[in-house]
Amino acid sequence: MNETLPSYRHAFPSMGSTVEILLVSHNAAEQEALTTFGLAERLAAEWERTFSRFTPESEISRLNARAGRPVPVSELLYAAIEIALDGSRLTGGLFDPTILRALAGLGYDRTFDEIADDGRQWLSPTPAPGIAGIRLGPEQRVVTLPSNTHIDLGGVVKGLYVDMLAGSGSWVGGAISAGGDLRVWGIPPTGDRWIIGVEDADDPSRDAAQLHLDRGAVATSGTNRRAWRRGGVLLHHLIDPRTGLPAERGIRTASVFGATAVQAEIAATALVVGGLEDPVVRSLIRQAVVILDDGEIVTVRDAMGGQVDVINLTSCATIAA
Amino acid sequence: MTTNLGETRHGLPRGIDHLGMTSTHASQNEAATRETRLKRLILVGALASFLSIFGLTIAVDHQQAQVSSETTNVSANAPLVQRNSAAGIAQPQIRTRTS
Repeated sequence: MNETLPSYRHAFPSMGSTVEILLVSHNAAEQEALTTFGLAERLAAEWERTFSRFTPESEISRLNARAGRPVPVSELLYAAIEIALDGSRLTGGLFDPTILRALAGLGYDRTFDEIADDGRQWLSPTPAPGIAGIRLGPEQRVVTLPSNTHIDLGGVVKGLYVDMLAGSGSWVGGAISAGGDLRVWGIPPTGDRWIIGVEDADDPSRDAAQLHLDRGAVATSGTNRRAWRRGGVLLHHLIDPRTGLPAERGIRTASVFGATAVQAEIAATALVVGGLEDPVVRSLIRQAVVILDDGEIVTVRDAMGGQVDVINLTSCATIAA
Repeated sequence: MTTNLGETRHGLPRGIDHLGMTSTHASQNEAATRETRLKRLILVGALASFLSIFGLTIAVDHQQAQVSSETTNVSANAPLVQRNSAAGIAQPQIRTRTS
């Protein structure tokens, strides 16, 4: 076990959630930490300006407003769209960036804090149009959305942000979390391995499990967060693109391990939408911790072998993964 | 794939693409290349443009004013999160929350 190393922690609100950063150094490095934290905040602001669907001036809002026409976009937006389209193809459409109209029809048409059950009914479910009609022009970085298609990149951008920052600078180790998406690298401040708490779906002040790992990413998606009532019915933001309705697979939260945060984020969404038995999901997941609606914790491990030790804190017993 | 429900899977096909969600060396290399390219793109683009506009020295001064109140040196032995105080359970260094 290594000795306790100097470490620096910072948290700030962004992208509708909280960004947390932990940096580890061999020596005291407060000034360098402040520099890194400041850059992280500015990068988050750039993300907001590019990807917020709740800001009419954001680049993605301007792209959606011009659906049906070719639109030149920034390198950042183009790269994120490429990743989202890859994610949709890889998950057989379980992850789908074209669910925006379905989300809006269910009432998630404003920031989550502004949603209220004002007595309105939801609109008829709107199955996602899918990505087949989206055209990319890489040479000029032009994106053409079909006229009936609006996109939401909320399913990849936090993971992309985490991946961009992870490993940057001269830190010997670190951890970055944006909402449910986090990545760890290098040496932890104490101990030999990183220890990640998995939020208890019933009590966010507690952890339901711990993940012990050397490096990598974990993303958690769930139906217990970003849930709202519309017309008296409880809804959530993880939409099944095939129906346009919130997914109902008996899963409250899914924490998925991956090499990168954006991989894990896409796979976690696909798991909640498709369920544990979906063959595409099972081909994607290497290791995961799933909390079912009844509170049971299920660990999932690919035959290739995982790198994460899972400790179930609800019984304080190690799960044989 | 196995779960603690006793399920087993053998030989299901894996998707292959440059997100790297496979176990093959080729796709892992491809994923690493893509991530490197994206990092270069973002860091050279967004961050470099920021630094070129404001300058590193000014940026550092400004950042200190902004973030120092929220930044904590946690180099002492105190855990970051005090939860689940059951004996024998180490404290987590960071948490994954539902999004």
